[in-house]
Amino acid sequence: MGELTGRAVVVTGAASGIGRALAEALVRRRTPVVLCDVDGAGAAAVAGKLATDDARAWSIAADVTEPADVERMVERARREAGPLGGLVNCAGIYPNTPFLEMNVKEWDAVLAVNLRAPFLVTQAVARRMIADGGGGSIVNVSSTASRLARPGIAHYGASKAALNQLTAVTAVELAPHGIRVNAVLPGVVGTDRVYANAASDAGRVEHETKLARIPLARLAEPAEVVSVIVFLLSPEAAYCTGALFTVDGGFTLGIPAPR
Amino acid sequence: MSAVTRVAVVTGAARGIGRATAAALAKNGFAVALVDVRAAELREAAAIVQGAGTATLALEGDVTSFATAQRLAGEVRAAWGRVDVLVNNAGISQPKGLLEISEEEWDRTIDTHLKGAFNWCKAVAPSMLAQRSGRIVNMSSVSAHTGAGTAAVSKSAYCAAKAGILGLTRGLAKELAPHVTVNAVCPGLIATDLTAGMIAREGPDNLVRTIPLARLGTPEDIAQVVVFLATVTPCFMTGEVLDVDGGQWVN
Repeated sequence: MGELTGRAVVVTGAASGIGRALAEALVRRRTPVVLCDVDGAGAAAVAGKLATDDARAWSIAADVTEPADVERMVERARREAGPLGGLVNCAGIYPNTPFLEMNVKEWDAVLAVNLRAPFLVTQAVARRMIADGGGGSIVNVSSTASRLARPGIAHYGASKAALNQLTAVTAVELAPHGIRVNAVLPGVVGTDRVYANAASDAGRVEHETKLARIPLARLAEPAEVVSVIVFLLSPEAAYCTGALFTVDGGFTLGIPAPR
Repeated sequence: MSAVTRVAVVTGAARGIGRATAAALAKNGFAVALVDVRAAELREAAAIVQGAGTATLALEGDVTSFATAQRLAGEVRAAWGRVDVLVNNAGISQPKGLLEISEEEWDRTIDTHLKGAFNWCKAVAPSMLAQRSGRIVNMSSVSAHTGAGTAAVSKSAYCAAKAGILGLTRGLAKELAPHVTVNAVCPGLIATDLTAGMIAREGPDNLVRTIPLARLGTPEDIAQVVVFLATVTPCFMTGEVLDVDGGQWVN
């Protein structure tokens, strides 16, 4: 794969999970990265480990659901890191609550982080990309939960389905400015927490049931989601916009046929 | 021969997306077998691909023939011992709609796209399963989703063949998992020999207006996505359908 743009990439939710793994991968590709997270100390710790002679890393604490905070964060990112070439909307929350017990506070919180924030950050970053005249690439981290109906995540599934359509419409509106917008839809990603749960007696059966539904018979490694995001940020994906790239080992194809 | 470590087969490699894909795979270090029914253009393409410095084979043959696919896949294995990547790209345009098309033309369209992909999967998948690794990338089209436009180079028979390829992709993703991945790419409007006549007829400006990125795609745009699917390691994508259309479909 070729070099990414020399311009900086803003990553939200960069203190942990896929966001953190992505920031690490970008620095390995000598791409300057701005790590944004509501956990400012966490983002600063990651950025501190990442910054090298080859690529700089900044951290900015911000609540991306708040317009003023987003404006301040993006303004600072542009000022310190220079023209922005990429944005990855990675911040997300995924509480699990049965629909009949779901309260409006939790509903609003999920929609705020998973949908309102990508709207706010995309708008603020795109305005600066347009002012700088260099185009850009934006990647939204969606989920296979936007397509599969899973119990307990009515808010999460709805927020990610809406994010898919935000991706499509912003792709069309920002294309004239040379800005591409795509989404990745990870299936179940194998994080430390998921594997710890799978090691327990209660979690083991659930884990094996889950694996039986995935043709590749395992969970995604964070790096496998990251590599798709990096591809979409790169010049190799120059004709990709408004696309949803599913990264789920075939999970959304349904139960594997017997073999 | 000792230098050959990764082997790719590309069907329909004499021109357009197939030729660009063969070249891009060669640039990424693959030995590439180019398969096509057009002998003269095939030799020309193979010579260009060889310029990237890797081994190539030019294999003349029609993908609609099951026996030919078996024989040519055997030649690739005889030369290089394995097949790591198969790109089912061979296709023809079919501008005739239901009322104009003959039974023979319908069969030829389905046979080239869909049976051709089946023939080559059948020819290489057993050896991929035996070596416990392999990547298959099938060329579909945004037409599989849209039914094509009135200006499209190809109408319902082409759309049906390309939609069939999506079903084949999803089914094989399950049958060949977990060691062999099978994915599809759906190009939008790509400037190739296949589309040149239609693009001239409709006027490039009129067509570009329907594409948010405001340009026709190039064979290289598609080749880069194929190379990504063929090389990204490890790979958690299988049964996936990647649209590469400049935003045309969602617009």
